[in-house]
Amino acid sequence: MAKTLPPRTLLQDEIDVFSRQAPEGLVIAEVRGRTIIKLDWQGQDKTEKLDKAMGGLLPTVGQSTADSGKGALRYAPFSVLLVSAELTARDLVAERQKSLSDLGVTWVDLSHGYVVLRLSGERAREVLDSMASTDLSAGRFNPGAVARTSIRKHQVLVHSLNSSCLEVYLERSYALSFWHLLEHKIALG
Amino acid sequence: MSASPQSHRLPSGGLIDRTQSLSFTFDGETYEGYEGDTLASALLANGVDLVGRSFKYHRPRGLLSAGSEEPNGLVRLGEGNRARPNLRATEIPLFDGLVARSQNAWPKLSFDLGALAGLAARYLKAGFYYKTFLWPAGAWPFYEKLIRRAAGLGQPPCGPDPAQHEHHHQTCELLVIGAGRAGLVAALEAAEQGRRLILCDERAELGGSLAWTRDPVDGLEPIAWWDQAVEKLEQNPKVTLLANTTAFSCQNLPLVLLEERRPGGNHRLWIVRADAVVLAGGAIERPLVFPGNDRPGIMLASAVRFYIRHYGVKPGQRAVIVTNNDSAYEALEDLKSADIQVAGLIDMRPAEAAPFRPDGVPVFANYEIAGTRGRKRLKGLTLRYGVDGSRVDLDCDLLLMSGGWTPNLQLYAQAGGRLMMEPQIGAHLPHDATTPLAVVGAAAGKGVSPTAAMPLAKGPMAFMDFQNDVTTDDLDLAMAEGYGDIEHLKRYTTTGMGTDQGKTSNINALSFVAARQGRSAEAVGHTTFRPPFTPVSLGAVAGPARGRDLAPTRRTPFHKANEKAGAVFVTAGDWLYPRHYPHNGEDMAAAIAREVRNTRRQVGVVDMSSLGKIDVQGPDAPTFLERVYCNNLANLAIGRVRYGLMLRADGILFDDGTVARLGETHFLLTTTTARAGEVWQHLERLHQCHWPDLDIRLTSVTDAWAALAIAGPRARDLLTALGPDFPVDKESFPMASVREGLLDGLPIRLYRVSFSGELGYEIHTPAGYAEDLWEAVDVAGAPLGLMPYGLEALDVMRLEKGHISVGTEIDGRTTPADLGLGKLVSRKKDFLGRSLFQRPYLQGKGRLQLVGLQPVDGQTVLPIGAMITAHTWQGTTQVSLGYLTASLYSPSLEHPIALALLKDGHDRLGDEVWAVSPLANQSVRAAVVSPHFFDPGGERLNG
Repeated sequence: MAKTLPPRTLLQDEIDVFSRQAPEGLVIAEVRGRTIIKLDWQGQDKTEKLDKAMGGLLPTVGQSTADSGKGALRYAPFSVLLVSAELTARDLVAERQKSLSDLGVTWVDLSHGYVVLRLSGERAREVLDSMASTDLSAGRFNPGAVARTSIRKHQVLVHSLNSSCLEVYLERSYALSFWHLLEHKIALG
Repeated sequence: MSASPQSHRLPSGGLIDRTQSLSFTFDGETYEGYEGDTLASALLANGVDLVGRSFKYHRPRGLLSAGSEEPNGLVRLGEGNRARPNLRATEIPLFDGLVARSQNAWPKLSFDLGALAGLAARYLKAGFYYKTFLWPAGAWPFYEKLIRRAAGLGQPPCGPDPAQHEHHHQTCELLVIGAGRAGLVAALEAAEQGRRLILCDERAELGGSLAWTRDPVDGLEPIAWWDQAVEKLEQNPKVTLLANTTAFSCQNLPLVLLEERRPGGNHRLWIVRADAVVLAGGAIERPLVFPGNDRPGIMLASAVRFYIRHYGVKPGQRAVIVTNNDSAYEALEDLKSADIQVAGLIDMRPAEAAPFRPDGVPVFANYEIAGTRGRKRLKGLTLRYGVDGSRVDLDCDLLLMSGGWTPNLQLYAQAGGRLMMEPQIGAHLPHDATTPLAVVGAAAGKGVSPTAAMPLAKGPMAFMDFQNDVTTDDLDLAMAEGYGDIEHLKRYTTTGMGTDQGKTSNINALSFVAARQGRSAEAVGHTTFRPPFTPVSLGAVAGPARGRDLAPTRRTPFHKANEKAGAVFVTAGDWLYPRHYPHNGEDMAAAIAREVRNTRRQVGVVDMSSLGKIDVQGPDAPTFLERVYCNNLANLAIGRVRYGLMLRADGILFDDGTVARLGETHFLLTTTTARAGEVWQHLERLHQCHWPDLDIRLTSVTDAWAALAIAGPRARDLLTALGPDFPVDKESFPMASVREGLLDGLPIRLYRVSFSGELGYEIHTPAGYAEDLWEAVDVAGAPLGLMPYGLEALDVMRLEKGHISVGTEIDGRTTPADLGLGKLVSRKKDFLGRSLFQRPYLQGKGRLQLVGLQPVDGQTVLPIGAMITAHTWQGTTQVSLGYLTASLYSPSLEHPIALALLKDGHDRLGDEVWAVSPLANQSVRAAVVSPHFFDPGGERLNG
């Protein structure tokens, strides 16, 4: 019988220390236990079929959709991340298993490969925008937008939830290193 | 020393705040200035004429300009590790407690022994060091010391910089560089259109020449208009105003780099991506070239006006103006307002060229300056009449010179803009409309005074480049020696090569060269403009990348568990990796030996999470992998693992690892830690560029999975104790198997593979469960004598086993055959690198091949990195037969062993050679043996 261990958080200690003296207008939290599945396919024709299979919820490139606690983040032409706070990877895929197989769409469970940081508050966007080479400013990176970008050699995926809340998907092994950069940036205003 | 009075401060005027008095020191003397001053203006206000010494001749120098073009007023700002060398006094905003020191003078600025070099100036012309230090050859070590001592300008701090520097990315619709009148107009127009913009200027205040010009703007006094404009922009939330900020690189538009100099010596590097860029950099006034044109008190006319009007400073008492254009005439009014007596106006042009005849000021038309007087301050001039050569002497302590204006186009040229010489102004202008950025205002030549061609200077010490002490004689000499091209002349004479990058000298130099060569300035061309426009602090370039944050660091999912187990970490690539786990004060060697022995005798556990892991899926995955790996994979069954070798296109071994087949069209590759990133890129490139028709998907899952290897005779016992939900006995789970299942309730992928040469397993689990897995293994392993082992012990065991490693044996030159793996290479299929792998050079005799070496005496560790020779080292040249790739004392075998790449090594087993290290002065006789020292039959591995 498989143990039901929740994946442990990685940056909670750092976030706890930060939160005690956090600047105004910025709240940082680590999103726990999120299921993240990467779907890949090849060809525009399959894109359209996949969209149908997903009930029209396949977002356009650089955008995301959300429905009943599940989200889809389309960060590349033929790749999308399916995310969910409640479903396991198998459950998330099981819903569409047949249509995915028929279309030749492959999936990989990356739930444990990412640490997801949520930055919220009026300063959240400004802080992240000043660190990223991609334009994350309010007028250009609207709610729902998704982008893969580089932040000082850290490859990250940024998702704009709303005007004052963004999520950053970090490769797990780089999480603490990225945290140090973030702290440095916030400290310097 | 008590504060000196501001003896040269005008009683009123200027844009400084006279209510805010600031105290500062220069060379240990205490002075006072006002809020709004620069260090330069405050020094002038205190009557400090001498601010620096020139680089080569150590000539006394005063301020020439009021901006970033300043070649003379270089100072060291701050103390201790906060000190910054080579900062321009003209760009340092004054603050209370500022500490600055002059540079390039010893024992002090006013009495500099280095000035003795000036006595030998006639021997120190351009290129003297190329000619002088050639002989006698044996004296070079002596010369080198001298040259090293003399080289360089300024002294950097020696300790860590306590300042906080940062990088700041910003995107905008418009970036306006330069906040003078033209820049402000551009920004105002864009702001009115609702555009998101950045306006930057290198000065502490925006406004540029509005601070000292008199022409009304939109019917307003320049300063009143400026106030209004800045206020409007400040109130616009879409506008970012950056003072003290220099745009220094436009080489990669639309990326522009800015350096913001913030209080406390903290610098911010702005990395701006702009939809459009407007360059409003203004124009720089050129000096004139005449003998003795470098004495303190000789300044650009615009600078004198700036100091009077902006800072309320009186730079001298009795002035002379010398010019070849109209703009300098405007200084007369400013001199008068500052109560500075004007002893004369020298217009080098014919009399009819003058724009007007000034009242009460003697005008010397068609004159030039034949010489100057004064040592540490100008005392007077000698003029020569252009018609008959007659001479006139004038007494003065201030000379305003204007040799015309050079539009500030370095950034435009960096961006790829073409320049054309405009004879009317004697300088370059943007070539055409198809430019990479818009150029406006004086930078585009707007309002720039027409300039008469500069007469050729005659006489000694006519300086072309003030900072590097390049004279007209130097340029003449260089041309006489055959350096005709402007790029060659620049490097031979060093004109334009100082920290000011020739802002005041380049145009004069190329005009001079053009005249001497009888060519047009257009034909002479110009040198290449490269970033940075002005010097940028290394702190700004580094930003947060220092110390702990120098580079991104990766931590394995077991990092905390490793810390708890007492690991000593080492950086391996980006990874922080456990090197060893010392017990009770053990040194590293003892810890490694213990870890090896324990693993060989009982069981050990090692963190293998840093191995690259690539998930390959898709109907064409088998075809793709057949092409990528040189060994046969076609018959790899589901649930099996195979060792795989990848070649580069040139047939050289690239990486090794494992290929596990998880399903019909689903594979998982592991790569070496060192090459994980490269292999990933390699596979993506092959798929995207070479074989896009193959339907495969690649996903790096390195971060998603944690991996522990357990190894040793008791590894299977440990595994069984952990309670896998499938059988792991030898028959059910043989060598080279892979299976998914549960272990102690944790989801795992179990591999039966081994790098240590022991019975071994790799347990992969989703990274979030890593600590649970470690804990379970630790608990179950305790009764079996489990100990963790680190990177060093792993390296020892792989060497004992004769397993190859990236960076040592896989070194970018070896093939599988060289490393004894030739039989793995398929002779039936095609694969990447096959054609070139088969070329005779890689197959024939004379290749360096992997062998083992053992010292003949049985006890001396062969020197690491030693060359292999046929004879012992006797200080004479010998033919190298190869070299050692690894060498150590084997705790398992209890004698030293080594791996080596030896010429035709596979045919030399049993021979004796010498391992020679001239650096260590060591020669050890060694026997050539098989590289498989430990368990060569593989009984333990397959047990």
